[in-house]
Amino acid sequence: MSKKLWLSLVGIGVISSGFIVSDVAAEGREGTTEVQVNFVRDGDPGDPDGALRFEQVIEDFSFGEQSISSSSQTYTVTDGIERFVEVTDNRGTGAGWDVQVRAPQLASENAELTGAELLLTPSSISSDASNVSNPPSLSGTIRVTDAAQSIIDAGVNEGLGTWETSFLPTNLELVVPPGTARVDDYSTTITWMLLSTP
Amino acid sequence: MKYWYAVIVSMLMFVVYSETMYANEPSFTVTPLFPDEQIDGNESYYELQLDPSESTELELVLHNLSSNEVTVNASLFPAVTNEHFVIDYIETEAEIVDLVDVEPSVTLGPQEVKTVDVTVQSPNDAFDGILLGGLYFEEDYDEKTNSGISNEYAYLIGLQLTNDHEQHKAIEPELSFIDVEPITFENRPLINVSFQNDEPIIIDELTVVTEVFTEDGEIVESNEREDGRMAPSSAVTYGVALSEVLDPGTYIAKVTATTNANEWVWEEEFTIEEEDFAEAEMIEEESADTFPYWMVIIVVIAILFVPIAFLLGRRGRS
Repeated sequence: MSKKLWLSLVGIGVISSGFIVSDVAAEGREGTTEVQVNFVRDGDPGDPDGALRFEQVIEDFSFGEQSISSSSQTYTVTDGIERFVEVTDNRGTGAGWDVQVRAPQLASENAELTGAELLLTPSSISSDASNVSNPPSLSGTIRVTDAAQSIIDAGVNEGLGTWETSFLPTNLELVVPPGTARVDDYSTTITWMLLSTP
Repeated sequence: MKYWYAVIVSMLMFVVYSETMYANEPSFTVTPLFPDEQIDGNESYYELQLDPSESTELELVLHNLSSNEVTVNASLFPAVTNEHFVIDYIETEAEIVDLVDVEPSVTLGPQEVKTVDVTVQSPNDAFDGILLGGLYFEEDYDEKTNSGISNEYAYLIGLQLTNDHEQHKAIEPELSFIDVEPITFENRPLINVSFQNDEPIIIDELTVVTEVFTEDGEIVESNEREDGRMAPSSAVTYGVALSEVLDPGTYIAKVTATTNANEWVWEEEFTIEEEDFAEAEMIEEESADTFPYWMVIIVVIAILFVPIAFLLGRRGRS
């Protein structure tokens, strides 16, 4: 390519950028400078980056082996590990979401642990320090039952981005009244549901 | 030297920590795609306006995030109101179940993306307000051999159906009382109260105060629930725990249900019979009196009886 052609190309570039500059300047004088950014859902439909989803739910836990007592006893999780429920909302709608829990009464293969109370208390919720959306609200202590209850609730414009709710080991409790436990293995399954509903 | 030690230790801790962190990482996501019948402005759950007998197809995108094969079970659960005044989506009989057809199970290969197809058919006859259900997605686990507390996860996306959105918004709420009765639940004495949402609309921000009085107007128990909700055209039954077993007799339950704009007050007489709390009473006495005195009496009698029997036996032989 000859030097002349190069120069003329650069010249056209300078002229055209000059037009753009003068255009912006003209708008600026009228006081209507407009900066527009349109955010879209990340990637294709079904791309997990644009979904409302659990990043993690708390891992299984246990109250260990306990001796049968003639008075009401409260047990806490035996391994002393802090657990987390993490939700990401990258839908960008600000519509909010809800995490609900349910679990049937603890039972062995033979019988239910009648009257036992499985208690969950969310300890705290946090996000990246730069997340400007409002935090979801946490419930107080929940006695988990077969009927669902809300434990983490993001209202309108709350809980955008990734939010991690912590459960300290002392906040996962089992209360067993006297006269119900037998020498047996008791278990249950907590279902953590992430809802997007009216 | 100390610095390197710290680095090595923190690396070890990180490995342990991350293993703990990701022990229960969900395998899939679900993203709803919205059809033309979706009411404008809602991009979080299905809010469909269909004419009578009109039908539409919905698609939801499932994405397997894991490197294993994952089977996802899908269901349509109708909305009910549970004992906590929460709109709960459970497997039960309801009109909407017959109107929605869901592909029950989808198997995804590692990292695979697939759609679930759902058909929604509006009833042939026009209806007021809304029908409400939820599309429920859960991972199909192999039967776990459980001990302790297992944790599973599920996603639920609302599915609300109307013939006429404007008509729905104009409906005024109406609640009506159903029943009050004393029961024993899990060995505890309760007063069970039930009332219903008569209209096909959601009730929000409901406060329910329940007071139990004796015939003479003395208050014996009270209970307040705040921030309650009710599913459209649903009933709620909730228990008011009694701090002690009440004597048999006639009582009055006063229920005050309040929303932002309305208030309903019901006063209902009911009777407590001896047998209503028999089981709770037994447990209460047992736990109040855990030392088995009757056993002591039996042992004392037995101790006294043995030498007497011995003496009598000897006398009988001689």
